Amino acid sequence: MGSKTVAGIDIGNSTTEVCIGTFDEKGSLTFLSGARTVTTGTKGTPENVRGIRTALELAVEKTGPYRAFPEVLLLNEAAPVIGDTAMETITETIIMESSMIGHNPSTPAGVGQAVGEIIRIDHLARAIPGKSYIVTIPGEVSYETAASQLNAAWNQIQITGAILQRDEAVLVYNRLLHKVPILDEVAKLEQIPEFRKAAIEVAPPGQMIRMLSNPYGIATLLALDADETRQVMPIAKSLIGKRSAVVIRTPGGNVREQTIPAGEIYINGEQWRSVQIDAGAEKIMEAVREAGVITDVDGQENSNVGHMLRRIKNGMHRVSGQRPEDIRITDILAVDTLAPVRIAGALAEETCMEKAVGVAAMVKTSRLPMQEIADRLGNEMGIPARVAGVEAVMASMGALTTPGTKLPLAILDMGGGSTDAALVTEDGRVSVTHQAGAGELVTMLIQTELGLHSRMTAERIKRSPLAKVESLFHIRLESGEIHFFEEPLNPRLFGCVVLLEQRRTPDGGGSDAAGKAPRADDSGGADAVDAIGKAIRAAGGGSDTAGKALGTAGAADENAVRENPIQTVLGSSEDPWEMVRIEEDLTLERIADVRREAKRKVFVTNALRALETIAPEHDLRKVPNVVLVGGSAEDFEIPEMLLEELSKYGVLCGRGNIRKTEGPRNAVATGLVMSWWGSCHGNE
Amino acid sequence: MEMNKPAVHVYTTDERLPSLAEICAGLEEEGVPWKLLRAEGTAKELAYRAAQDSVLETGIGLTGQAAALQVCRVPAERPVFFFANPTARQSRALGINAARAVKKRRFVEA
Repeated sequence: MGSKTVAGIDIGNSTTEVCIGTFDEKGSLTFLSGARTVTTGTKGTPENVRGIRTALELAVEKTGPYRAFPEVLLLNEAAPVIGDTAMETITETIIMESSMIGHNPSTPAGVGQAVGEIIRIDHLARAIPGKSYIVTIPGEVSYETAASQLNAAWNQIQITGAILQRDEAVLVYNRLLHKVPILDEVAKLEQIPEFRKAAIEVAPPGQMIRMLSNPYGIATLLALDADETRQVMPIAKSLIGKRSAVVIRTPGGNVREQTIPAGEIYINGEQWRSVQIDAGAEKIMEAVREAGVITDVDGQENSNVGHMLRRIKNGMHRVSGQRPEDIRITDILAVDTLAPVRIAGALAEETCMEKAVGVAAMVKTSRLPMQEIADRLGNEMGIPARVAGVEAVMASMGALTTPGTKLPLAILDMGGGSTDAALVTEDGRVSVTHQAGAGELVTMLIQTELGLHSRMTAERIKRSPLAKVESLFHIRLESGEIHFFEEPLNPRLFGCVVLLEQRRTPDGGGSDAAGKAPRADDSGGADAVDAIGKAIRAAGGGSDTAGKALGTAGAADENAVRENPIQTVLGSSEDPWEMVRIEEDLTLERIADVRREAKRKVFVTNALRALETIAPEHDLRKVPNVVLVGGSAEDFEIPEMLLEELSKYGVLCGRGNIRKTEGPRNAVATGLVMSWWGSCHGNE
Repeated sequence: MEMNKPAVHVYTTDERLPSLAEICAGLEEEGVPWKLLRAEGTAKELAYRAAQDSVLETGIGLTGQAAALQVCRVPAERPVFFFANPTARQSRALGINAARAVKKRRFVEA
């Protein structure tokens, strides 16, 4: 047998990766190239073939001037699990009849509180002398007119405050003979009920309101009794942190916070457990742990969680083609969060932070038809193609090409839909686990907590560090460093928080230059190849014993780049990144906090959960070295977060560097190539 | 010359232009002081000079034909904002944005 060129192909949820390598007669392996592209169609369907061919062409291109065409194609045995996420708020604030405004106009005017009856400026003639009034001024009235009318009315009636539709509070205030607090930028001014008693408050610069965010403060201003004071509690709560506010006393009006009947989760496993979803994530995860190996998860009929889990199962049914009743949720990850929800009936589009719970679920499907894909690919390309290995095993093998690794070794594969871990012992035994929750749940948490309109924005926030554009010539990075520009920046970016997105290479991934490709045996992985080779043979030539090997779920979100709702503005072509403006008015600190917290909630929780499952005697301290692979391992802060956390248990952990060149990518494809010699010769 | 007071400088060829009132209203609403001066030149030239003269490094140039906003160190021919025959709304936004350039807050859309 002469030399042989082999291609490993890994189809993930979002990316398809290829690795090409050549074995000489003695079985010594030289890697030639690697490439990756977006997965076409749903993972595990014949539509994948198109993406595979693209990735193969890219990889062949990169093998150098003497193109090396693969003679054998090896596909991964994609894991028959898919993940999905859902979010449900469990509290809700409803305003019956509009009764409050609380918001942060950039420039309100005056300071203090005032009480009076609401009256529109064009009704001032009907005002009763001697009474106190708060005047509403619609957008069609100019600041000059408004100020002169208020000044003229002052002698007959007492004006204690004003509410403007336009952004002209300061302009009116400056022209008043008798100064009063003024609130502006109230979009739905016409909905404020007239001739009702109201209280207005504008905070001093740099401070927040104090009277109207305090139930007793409202009671004082509006003369409420004890029962009424109880009722305004949700109003006070939702006005916390505002610079200005109005509370209107409406007889039938009422604001209440209600807890939505969120329902119970039923966990069927070794133990049966039920838990109220509003008990919080901690209690839910405790129940998940107690349940042991889970066979299915359901929600109470006609409750929020019931609908949520049904939605997930229906989604899985569409993707997998399996009957809905055959779909089983085998793991869930619940995370507490807060969601800014638009208050029904509010006047200035106010939101209230409501309690919510995010859930990622993982569903086991029937075996994916990988053989079909292999056959079709083989026919189309005229090259023998076959399904060759269990993903987790292949990923472990690929991970071993990271300098500084040896058996025993654990890998943590953090993808979009699930977090998977595998442990390979020195004698080649492999244990594998899959946990619900990964990159997509992080994206959902970011979107929810920041109240972003677009999922894409959340996805991009997850991926890139932030900066604040402080002048047209410099930005301040998240780290506090300053970066200067020679050319003035686009004014659209001025004063904004921006994402520093890395410029992408066309295939989005690392690559090997032909000739410089490292050899597998350089990295001390050769012995490991043997050991894992044994493992593969023990497992019956690649079929997974537990039938639950899972996909290098991939970075989930490659499609993030397809749509572009936020404008990208080039800084300078020399910069390694592009600046993308965040449209929402959020501070850099807030975005960074939410982003880090979301990552910690999902990945640290899941890494610990996964490693505990595969650890000898479920003792984390007995976990050997951990190599992080998969899309989320490319993240700019997750690996460091995990290293910090795992170092507490004396576990070494770091981002993989497959073949010394690929970073945490391409582990499975590389492993497939490495496994070829063993699978041909070991069984002979 | 009392050029040293912190203010956005507004240079115009004609103090009676209706746009000027809007520009000043924008600055006033944002609470940033300004200094008005009559001068000759194009809107871009005036804005550039106004920015150079301003302690706050921000200037506005207004003629009967156009309005421009400029900050220091930005090339004279490429003002930060420029409107030919500005509408009332654009003029107000120009005033607001001059103030925001000083306050380091994001600009409003005209």
